[in-house]
Amino acid sequence: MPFRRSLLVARMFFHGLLAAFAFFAAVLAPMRAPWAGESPNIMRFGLISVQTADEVRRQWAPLLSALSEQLGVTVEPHLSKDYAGVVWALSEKRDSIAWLGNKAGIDAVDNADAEVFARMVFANGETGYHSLLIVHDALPLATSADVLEHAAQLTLGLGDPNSTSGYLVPTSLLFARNGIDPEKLFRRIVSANHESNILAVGDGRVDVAAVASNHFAEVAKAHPDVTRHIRIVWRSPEIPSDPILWRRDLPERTKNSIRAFFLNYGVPGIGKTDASRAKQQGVLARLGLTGFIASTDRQLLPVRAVELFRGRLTLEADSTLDPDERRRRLAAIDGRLADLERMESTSVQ
Amino acid sequence: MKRFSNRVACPRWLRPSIGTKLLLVILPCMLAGSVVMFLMFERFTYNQRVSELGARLDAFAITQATSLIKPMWTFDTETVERLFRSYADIPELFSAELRNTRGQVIATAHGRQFADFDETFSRETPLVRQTADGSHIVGQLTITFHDGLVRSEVARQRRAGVIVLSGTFLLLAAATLLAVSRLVVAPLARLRDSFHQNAASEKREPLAWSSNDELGAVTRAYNLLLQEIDQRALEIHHLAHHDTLTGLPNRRLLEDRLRHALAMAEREGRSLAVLFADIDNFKVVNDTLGHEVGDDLICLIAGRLIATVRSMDTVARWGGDEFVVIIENIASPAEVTSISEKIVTAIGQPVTLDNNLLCVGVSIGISLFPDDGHDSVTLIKNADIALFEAKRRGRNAFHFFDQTMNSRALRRLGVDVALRQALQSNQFELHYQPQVSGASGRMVGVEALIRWRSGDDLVPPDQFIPVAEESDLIVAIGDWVLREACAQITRWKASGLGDIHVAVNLSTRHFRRPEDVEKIIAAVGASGVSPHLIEIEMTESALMHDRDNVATQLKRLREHGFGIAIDDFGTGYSNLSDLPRLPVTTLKIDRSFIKDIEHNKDDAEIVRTIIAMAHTLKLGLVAEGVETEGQVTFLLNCACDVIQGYFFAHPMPAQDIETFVTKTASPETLGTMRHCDETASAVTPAPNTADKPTTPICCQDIHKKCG
Repeated sequence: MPFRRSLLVARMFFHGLLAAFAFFAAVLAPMRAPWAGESPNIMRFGLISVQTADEVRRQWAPLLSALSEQLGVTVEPHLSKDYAGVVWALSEKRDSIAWLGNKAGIDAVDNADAEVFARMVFANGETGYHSLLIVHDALPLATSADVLEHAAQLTLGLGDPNSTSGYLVPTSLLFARNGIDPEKLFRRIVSANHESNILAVGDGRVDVAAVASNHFAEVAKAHPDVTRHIRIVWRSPEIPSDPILWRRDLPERTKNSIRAFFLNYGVPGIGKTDASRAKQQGVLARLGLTGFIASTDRQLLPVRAVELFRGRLTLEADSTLDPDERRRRLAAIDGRLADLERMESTSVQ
Repeated sequence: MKRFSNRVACPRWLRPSIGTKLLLVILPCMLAGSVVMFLMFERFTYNQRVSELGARLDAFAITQATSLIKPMWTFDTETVERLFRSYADIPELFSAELRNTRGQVIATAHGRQFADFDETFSRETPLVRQTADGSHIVGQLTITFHDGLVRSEVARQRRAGVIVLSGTFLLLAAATLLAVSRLVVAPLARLRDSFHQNAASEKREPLAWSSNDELGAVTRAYNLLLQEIDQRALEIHHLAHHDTLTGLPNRRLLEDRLRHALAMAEREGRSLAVLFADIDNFKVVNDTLGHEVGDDLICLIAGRLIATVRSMDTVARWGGDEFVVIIENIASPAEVTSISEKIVTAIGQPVTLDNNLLCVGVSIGISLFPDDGHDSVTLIKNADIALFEAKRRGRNAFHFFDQTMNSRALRRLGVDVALRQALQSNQFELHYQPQVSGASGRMVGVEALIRWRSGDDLVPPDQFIPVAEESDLIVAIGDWVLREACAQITRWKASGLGDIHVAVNLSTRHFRRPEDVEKIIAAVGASGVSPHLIEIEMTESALMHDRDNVATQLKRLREHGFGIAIDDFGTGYSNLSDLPRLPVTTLKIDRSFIKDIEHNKDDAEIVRTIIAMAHTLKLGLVAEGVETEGQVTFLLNCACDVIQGYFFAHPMPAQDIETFVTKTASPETLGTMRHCDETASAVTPAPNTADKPTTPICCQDIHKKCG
């Protein structure tokens, strides 16, 4: 029966088509999602371990859950043992948003295709902080010069290599500027987060440490008995507050949502009750903040300058380099420094 | 000649020695082999080094990657750059490149030490950071090494290898050349020199060789070959000088020997004879019975010739059926005659060949040195002429070149034959000459003298004894004389005459061999006669001629009781000091001394001396040839015991002796004669005439009687 056969064939063809479509949909569907390595409903928020991981997580949990509500997706904190981990997570597209220090932020912007969109406002309302060199006041060290002088007998606590205040600024402005290699000078160097270093100095486990001033203030509030015995022997110039970054390849809509969330959080707004505002403030207070303000990559320029400066100093001190090469590189650095200055001077913010 | 021109024309450099040839084979092979091995080794080494390089590359890449992970993780470009700067000093680095995850080049480095390189080896290492979150790739490190160092290393090795190889080759070449020179070239040169030397010289010198290898074996074979050559040379020499059929010397050798013999004969002053012998009617034998038989005959005749002549003589085959014989050291032509006769006889003996009884004759021509020539050519030519004469005269005979010699020889031969005949047919007779005592006139003995009754003639001994002396005939005759004398003594005794003392003349030929002496003793013994009755006479000259040998034999005879008398004493060259040593019993004074004792004072003196000597030596004395009364008187005065001569009696037949004895023993004649003791030869004077001097009165009577 030719008619029956043709009907059969048509039905088979149709089923096949459906199957193929389903197959391709199933296969291709994940590829359409911009978050490779992420399941569609989870977003990861990278956080730097300025304190213990649990503490950081605790501090940020409320904010992140509020963000989740706002975005309609689960926002998970991602804590990495070191700052670089967060940058790499951004780079590998495992994290979507991240809180980083300036130095780490530079790395994220340069290497992870991230973008600064917001910046912290500290509890005191400032948008900057300092790097401090602290010692236990039992030690006869009053100035950074004393520290450098007695360095051979001292244990130095530094922050994460990508930490601005914990590493970059002190090494640049304290050591490099004086042509010192802390590795060679100090008796021992330990690397730990700000809180750990502060407490270590208070306990006398570490003689001297470089820490962030905001974190110092927090620890002082939490452990006043420890910080009471701590003397600050050096304060760096102001460092911009930590940026919040997102991956550049996030959809615009998502970005807008995220930005809206952060800039409006803790700020009176339309439709926000006082109670909810107070709640938000409470969350922020736990973070040692009062809110966030908008920011761009430009906030990183000062730290970039410090970085370049440090590089320059290191270059000058490097004897292994071919003179021509050194000159060339120094010239390049100087050029970049000049560029930065120009950019800064034209900065609006 | 042609084959030598190749060798001369070929230039020296195209004639390689064994050493060079060997090297031309060995070195290229070794070179090829070594080069192959070398290249293989080099490749192997290179591969090994490359793999080592790869390992180093891996290790370096991994190490650097490991060091770079942290800086890359923390975006520490300074550290990265610092690290990369240090790479520049890595000798094998070609390039190093570090990329980040987005493929951008973070850092590069280039090796400074760019030796000549061929290949590069790259290794890409991902920089992986392990965290609690998992592994993160933080970058890609690409390290490229070049093989310049490896190549330079290999090149250095190659250079060293080439030097070592060259050295080895030179050593090998030198050692090979040396070894070849020692083991092959030098020994071969020795061999070659030996070859040349032996080819040039007459005598072959074998080569002494110490080693036992192939060359040693070749040398041994070569020495054997030399022996073979020597052998052949000898054979050739023999063939060149000897007749192939008979083995006798051929013409060439004969002439050589003849020259040599002539030179010897010339120097020693001796004589030699050349006999040219030709087989009579040989051609007939050849034609009728065939050449094989003829050859056999020639051989047979050659054998007979050799058997006939002495060992020192040369028998040669002149050619065909002609032979030449050289007889050396001949004392007289008679010897030659004798030998020639023997040859003729020997060859004349019948012979059976191939069931045929043959009888051939031989004609011989004889030439003598120095009479018939002084050189070989002349002698042979004259012998040939003599041969022709022999053939002309009827064959189966010999002929001397010198006619007189010839006739003499013939005569002699005739006599010889006749004598033999005479001996056979008892034609000989013994006559006896009495030996008389001078004092008593009585016969004290006789001398036996041989006579030959040939037909009607009575031939005296001087006519035939010399001929007999030249052959053994004299011995046969002597034997006969002895036997006859013994028989006669027996007869006389039987007829009542008593024991008659007989003196017998014998030739020294009798005493040459001990057998002859034994024969004498036996013959006398067989006859039953006492040896004391026999006195053997020999001439002084004959005795002196062969003194020592004869003396021994005579001693033997003397022991048996024979008397020995020296005949013709005074005429020979005897050494007077030898006289006492000889076993002589009697001296017979030669007639030449007796003849003139009456007139010649010297002869008288000599005789007196001899007599005195004989008395001193206690020897008997007989004076021979006494013919006059005056001689008798003289001798008696000198107390010469016995006298023999015509004065008393001529030699007479045996029966006349009987008469003589009776007469001399008769009373009338005895009268004033002294009595003789019949047995003794010494005379004892009768008492009644003791005081009287010996007077020859009775002798006179006897003389008259005898006439």
